[in-house]
Amino acid sequence: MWPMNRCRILVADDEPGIVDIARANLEGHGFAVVEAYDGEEALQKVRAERPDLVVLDILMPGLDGWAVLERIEADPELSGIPVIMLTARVSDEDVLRGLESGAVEYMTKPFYPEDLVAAVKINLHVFDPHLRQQHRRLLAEKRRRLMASRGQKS
Amino acid sequence: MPRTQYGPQYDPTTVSVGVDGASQGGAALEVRCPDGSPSIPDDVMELLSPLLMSLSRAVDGAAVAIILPRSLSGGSSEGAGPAVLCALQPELSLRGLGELIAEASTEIHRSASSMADGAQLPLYLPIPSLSGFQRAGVPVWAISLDGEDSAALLLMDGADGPISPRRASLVDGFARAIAAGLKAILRQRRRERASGALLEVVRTAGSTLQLEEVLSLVTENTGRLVGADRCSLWLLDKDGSTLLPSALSGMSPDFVRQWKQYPLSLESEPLSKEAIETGKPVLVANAADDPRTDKDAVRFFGDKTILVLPVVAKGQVQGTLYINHVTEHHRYSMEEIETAMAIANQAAIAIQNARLYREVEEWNSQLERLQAIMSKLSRSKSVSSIANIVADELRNLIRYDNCRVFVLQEDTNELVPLAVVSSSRDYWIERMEDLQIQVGQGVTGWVAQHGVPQIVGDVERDPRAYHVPGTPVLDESMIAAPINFEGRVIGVITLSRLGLNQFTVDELRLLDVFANEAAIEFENARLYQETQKKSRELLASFHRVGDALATGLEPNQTLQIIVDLAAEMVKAKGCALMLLDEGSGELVFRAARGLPVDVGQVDRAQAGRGVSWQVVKEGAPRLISDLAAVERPSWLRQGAEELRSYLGVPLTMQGQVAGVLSVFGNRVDQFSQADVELLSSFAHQAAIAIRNASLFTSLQERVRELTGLAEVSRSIAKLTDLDDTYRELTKSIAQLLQAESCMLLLLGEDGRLLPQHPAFGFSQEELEEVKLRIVDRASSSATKGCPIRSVDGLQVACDGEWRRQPALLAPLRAQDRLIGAVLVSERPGSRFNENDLRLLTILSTNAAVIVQNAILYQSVDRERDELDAIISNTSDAIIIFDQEKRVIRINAAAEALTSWRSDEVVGRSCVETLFCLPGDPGRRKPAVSMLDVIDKREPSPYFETVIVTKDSLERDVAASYSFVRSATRGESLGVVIARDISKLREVDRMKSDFVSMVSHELRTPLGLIKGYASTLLNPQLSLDQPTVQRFLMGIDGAADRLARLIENVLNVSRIESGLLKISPQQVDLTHLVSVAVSTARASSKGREIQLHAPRRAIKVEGDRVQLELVLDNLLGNAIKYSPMEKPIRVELRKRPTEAEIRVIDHGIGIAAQHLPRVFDKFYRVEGGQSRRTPGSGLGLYICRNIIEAHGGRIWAESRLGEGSTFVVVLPLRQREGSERAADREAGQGVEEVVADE
Repeated sequence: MWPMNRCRILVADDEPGIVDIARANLEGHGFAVVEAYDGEEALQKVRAERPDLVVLDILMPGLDGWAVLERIEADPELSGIPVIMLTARVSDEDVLRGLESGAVEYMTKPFYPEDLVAAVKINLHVFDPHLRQQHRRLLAEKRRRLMASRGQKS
Repeated sequence: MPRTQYGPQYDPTTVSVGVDGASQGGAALEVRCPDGSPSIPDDVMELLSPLLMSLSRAVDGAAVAIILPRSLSGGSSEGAGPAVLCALQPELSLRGLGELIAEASTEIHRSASSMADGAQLPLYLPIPSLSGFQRAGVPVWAISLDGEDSAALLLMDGADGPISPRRASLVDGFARAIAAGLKAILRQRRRERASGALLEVVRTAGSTLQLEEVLSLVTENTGRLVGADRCSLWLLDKDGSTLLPSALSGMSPDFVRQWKQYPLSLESEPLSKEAIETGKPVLVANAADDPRTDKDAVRFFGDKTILVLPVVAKGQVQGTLYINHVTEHHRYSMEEIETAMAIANQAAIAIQNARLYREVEEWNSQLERLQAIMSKLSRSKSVSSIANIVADELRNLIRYDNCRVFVLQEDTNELVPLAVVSSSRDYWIERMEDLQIQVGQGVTGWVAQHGVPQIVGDVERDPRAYHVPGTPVLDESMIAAPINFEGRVIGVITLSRLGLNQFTVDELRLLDVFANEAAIEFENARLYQETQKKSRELLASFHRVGDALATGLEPNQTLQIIVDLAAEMVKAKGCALMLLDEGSGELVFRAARGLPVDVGQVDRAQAGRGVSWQVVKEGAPRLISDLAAVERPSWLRQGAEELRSYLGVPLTMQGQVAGVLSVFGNRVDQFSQADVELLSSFAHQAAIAIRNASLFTSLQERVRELTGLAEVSRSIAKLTDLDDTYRELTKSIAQLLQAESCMLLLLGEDGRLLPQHPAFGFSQEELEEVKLRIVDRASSSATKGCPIRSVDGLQVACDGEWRRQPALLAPLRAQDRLIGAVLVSERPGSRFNENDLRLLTILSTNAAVIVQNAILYQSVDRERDELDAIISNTSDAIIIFDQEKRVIRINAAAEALTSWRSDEVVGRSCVETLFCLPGDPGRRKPAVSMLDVIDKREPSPYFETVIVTKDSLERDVAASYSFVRSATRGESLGVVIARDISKLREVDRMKSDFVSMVSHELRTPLGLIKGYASTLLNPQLSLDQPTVQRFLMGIDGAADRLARLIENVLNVSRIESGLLKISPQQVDLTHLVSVAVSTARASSKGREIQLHAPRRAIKVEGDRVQLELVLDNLLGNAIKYSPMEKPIRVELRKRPTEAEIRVIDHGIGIAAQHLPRVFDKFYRVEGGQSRRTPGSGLGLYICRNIIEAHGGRIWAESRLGEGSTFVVVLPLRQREGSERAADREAGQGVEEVVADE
């Protein structure tokens, strides 16, 4: 547990309250929290501090969450960092986009802080290339389900 | 006395009807004898029955009978007529006696008629059939009836020996009584007959205008009236010196034909002369002894009594009427003579009318003949070709071996063969063709001479035969008929067959008829040839004249040519042509040469006494060898002194002197008698040329008129406006007919004719009146479809008064359907004639077509206009294109939708213009593209797509696609109807954006509250006190945000429903602004917000809470849309009447096209920032509404990428304004920076 507790989580949200809440909860579980309040800052800190996981809001001034995610995934050095989206955007479209773009989890606001902590823990546990592969398959399955449900809707 | 059928035992043919005499113990019978004689008239029977009955009684019941003359029964012929038999002795067989009398009646009547007046009576006639009576004869009393006829009274008493004197005197008395009664009846009869004849003449003369018919009616009726044997009518010729035999009754037609060829000189007819001079009838009681009669004629005809009547009408003597009695002397009663005179007078009027009519007809027929000749000329038909046609046609009627057609050459009196057709070689045609036969030579010549058709069984043995030398002798028979034209022989047709006695009389008759019918053809052809010959002759003598005159048909030119030629011909120094002016009767110079006169000058000075006038008056040439001998006319005095001699010849047209052709010589005695003749002949030719020229001119005028008509029709037909059409049409018709007015009437649905406006010569008001006044009457006439002359005239309004105007009305028919009528009225003082009616009929035919077309065109036009208006004004865009997708038309809505102008796209492909989707990758690809739809070529009732405008804007449209079959283009056209739904789409989008935005905006504070609360409640987390405190404040703040958001939404709904209320109170803007800035600073984590505001309070009237909301919004936006490091500046200024707040950022800015709309509800600037920046799109909308509710203004100034400035202007409180004015007086520098952290 120990090394896990030393993990650093970057929380990026333009809403200071969210960052505050995330920090209180993650720190309560022994994670170190790096704060960012907009996209630029988030990307800069991902590069500089190489957090173990990124919790990313979408709607932020300047560079938005999508852009940040894209760049992380596009950068071979950064693409290994799991990104959890935490956003008020709740449409299926956005969820799908997030997962397709490489996010490991897509959480919508309002959220239970425990869920966030659980998601972070799960994603750090599977910080193993093999297991991660497995996890990706599960994600793909989830994506298909989403696609199917969308197809039915239209 | 009633007459009854006597009984079935009587033979109805002999004894048919009896008079019932039973009451008197006997019976009277009518005996029809001889067979078929007319029955006895009632009046005669009524006279005779009681007399005979009494006589029978007086002679002891013996049978008595009277044989009446036929004339008494109304019969025209003479002889015995029916008889009346009466007997009171019942034992006598009336039937037997009746039969006996019937047998003997003719003999008895003849005997009685021949008895001389005063013969001893009774006469005993030895009548064998009556020999049953033992007496030498039957006693007969002859009853003479006024010289006209006689009746015979018979006494059949069956007694022997002579009749007793007592009985004889008794019967004598009865005979006298009967005679008196019958004479009275006869007189009555004659009077009736005379008036009947008179009536007949009057009636028929009125009903016919054929002179021949009138004449024969007169002679027949007059002759019948007086029982004459012959009646003849002689008409005086024009100069009154000759009596023309004109009609003859009582002779055979052949005789009449001969008779008519011998006119008599009036001088040689003293009877006619006397009658004409005295104007009274002349009676010749004894023709043989009278010195005035022509003894040869009297002997020839055996005339006994002659009555000659003058035929006088309106004081003008037409001729004389001869009534001749041959068989006996006629004693004329005064009554008869008077009646005959009355008939003659009536006849005279009829004759005069008929003559006038014939003159007119002759003139017409001359024209027609001329025309016929001309038409024959054009078909180059000559006499000989007609002869050949005759010969050919005859072949179909009568079989012949040889046919010859001769015409009579009048000058040489020779028969010239024009056609010789043979079907047998035995005829030596070559020789015959040159053969000319003298009139009277051979059978042919005989026929020509006598004008009588002949049939010859054996030609060679006929005494008249003339053997053509050098031809073989043939056994042949022939028939020959003269070709008669107007009583003259103009030729002969002969047909021959080989063999003897080949022809029948019927064939001869047929040939005769045929020859007479062909006569007209021959005459025409002959006339034509004659004309040609004459013109050739004239050409020979005046060939230059002919040439010149034939070329010049223009009247003035012709006249000048005549003058020039005349002058040259007689080598005259001067020449003048003067014509009588029809209107004024003046002699006018029409052309001149070498004379000091002008064309148009009138020879007035001599007042009809000058040399020219004398030529006109005398109608004869006048030669003046030396002008010094006469008084010179005024126009010959000055400038014409060298003219010394004169020759004038009359120009005669249609028998009337129409002018003078005068030549002047400069030598005395220059012109010879030959010149007189030459000039006379020339004048004759010239007159014809003048007439031709004037005819040609009138013809040309007619042609011009018709050409004009055609042009008018054409030009009017081009008019499409109904008003113009009616105006021009009525004007043209009125002009062509020289009418006062002209209107069109169209058939309404109720079958009435309604006048159409505009009409020539009517105002609209007058037309309305016209409808009331004339239309009903006109309708009923014109709807029958024939042109009419309005008898009553048309009532025309003139200066408010109505007057009647004669008018013509012609129906308008289009495609056999009556569509209306055209009505023209006469100009005062002029009358329409038949020509006008004819012209109107032609015009109306054209007019009908024009009107019909104009009406059709107008209705089509109107429909098209309506459709056009619908297409143009509809709010939906309509695009019409053809099969090649070329744009045919777009309406205004389509122009507005696409930004293309109609003239830019019409004719171009709609694929390249209206429906073009540029291949710009950034553009939305619509699910359905317009091109896909129209390529499919099947109608698509509804689809939604995107149209890109000319200036590359996208427009969402709802459209339909269909086809319209175009009759004019003959193909189907594509029609796209589109409606711009961009706005709807945008509102839709804004709404859905709003929903997602609101949900986001709700979720964010909700998420915070949830997060804070969950964290606080998590027992595993040991939070320190400051954190707990911070979290609780976070919850508080998030709840505030939530509340504000809800407030915003509520505000919007208030604004929407008009419930936005401001609670006015005094608000200190300075304070308000600084509080808002402080709050913003606090919540924005250290953003630099500069505030420039005066220290003093700026007071406005307003709602504090709402104004706070505005400021929070503006500041929030400024923070939201500008980067952290850029300062935000808030300025508050006081202006004279207003307070101004500016919120300035240096952020992303707003593009110009979005600026005006940022205050709209839900409006968010698309692309880029907006999607990533939270916001409901309500803030500025609410701001605007709040500021406007305060009576202020709000706007934005911005440049993309450089930042935005939002300006709010609020009115100052009234008092505040005056304070401000006081401040200004106190000095400047009120404004300064209050705070700048």
